[in-house]
Amino acid sequence: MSSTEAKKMVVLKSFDGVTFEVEESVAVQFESIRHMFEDNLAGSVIPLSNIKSEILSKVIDYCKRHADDTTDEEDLKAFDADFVKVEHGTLFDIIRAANYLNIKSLLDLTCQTVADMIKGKTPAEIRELFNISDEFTPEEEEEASIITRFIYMDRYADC
Amino acid sequence: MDPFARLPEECISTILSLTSPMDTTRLSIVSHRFKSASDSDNVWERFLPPDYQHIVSTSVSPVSYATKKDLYFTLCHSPILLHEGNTSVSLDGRNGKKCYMLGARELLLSWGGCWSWTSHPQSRFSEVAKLKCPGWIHIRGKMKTHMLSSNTAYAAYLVFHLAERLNGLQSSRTVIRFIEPQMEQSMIKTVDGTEKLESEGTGKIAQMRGDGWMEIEMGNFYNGEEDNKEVEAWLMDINNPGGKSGLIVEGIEFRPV
Repeated sequence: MSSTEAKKMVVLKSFDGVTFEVEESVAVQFESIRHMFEDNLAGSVIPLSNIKSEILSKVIDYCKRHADDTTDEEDLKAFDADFVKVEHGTLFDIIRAANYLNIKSLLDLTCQTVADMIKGKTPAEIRELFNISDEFTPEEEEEASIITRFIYMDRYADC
Repeated sequence: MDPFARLPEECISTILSLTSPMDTTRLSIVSHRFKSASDSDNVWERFLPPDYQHIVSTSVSPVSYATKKDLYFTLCHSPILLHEGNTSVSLDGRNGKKCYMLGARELLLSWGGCWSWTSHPQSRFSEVAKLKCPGWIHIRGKMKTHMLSSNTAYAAYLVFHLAERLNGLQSSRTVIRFIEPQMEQSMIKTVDGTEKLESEGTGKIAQMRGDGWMEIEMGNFYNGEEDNKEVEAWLMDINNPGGKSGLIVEGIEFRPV
């Protein structure tokens, strides 16, 4: 895009009423709403009624960085690593937004972050880490642990 | 407050699909949302090998399953027969990697006249090979590497039975090699009299398997990503021509380590 040409802008409005002006070249990463600004609706405001401004601003920040061809790969990795160093609540809100807007790379990044947090842990550790109070009956727990043992401990029967 | 409660179930499925089959099964009791997400086809589709549809479609007998999770566990627990019933495939439950066994009919056994073919109640294959006379024997099995899971460390095992007390089976050598280029070799030596076979390279001895057969590692290799290669597991000249009868060969298994 030449610098003299006016950049096409898309206006997004968060759930708490804050508007964000985003270049279309950045907003194209929002797969699920792409048709809205591509169908000549540019200029009109696109409401995102379930994303808070705080989260939307982070998501836009991420997409800006990833739309920028001049950023080198190492910098982008460092940016991503930093980007997910947030509180659990914020991280999960970003997952929700990435899922809603269908931004695949952001969804992969954030889901992988949570996957890495839960890998190798016990159900009790996960419940404590994320404050989960849902309880299973002892019978349900026993059943799951029998299945786990049955499937994974008997090496030679597996093959 | 439970942050997972705010996520659509498909996001929890995506997260679980980025762990492992073992993590997913264990974590199914974190909460009822986890339980439901951990049963989803999206998760188990990721854990199944990329060519699972091809495997299922080439099975000798039809494979029926209600969900992808069902299919995964079916493939872990009951090997399915392919290639006219002479090869079997199953999955390693821990990670969904493929285990193949070449049945005796798929192996190169020399000399042909030294072997008889018989059925065996504990075999997954319709026939196994029984060594009936003394002689120098070679047992070779070739596997196309693209059929195995990529980027995975594998070992090859001779799966056998000893019909009678073993008097000989003193020692033998095995070679694992990629056919063009030769990558790795390993040796096995068997120990006389004790009915234990010992690998010179790894110090491993023959072990009982859960399915009633015995096995000994023939060697190991790393399967990268290249296509069009073959890996060969080759057991050569058991060094006691006088006393090998009684050896029954079910096959050679290629299994992730």
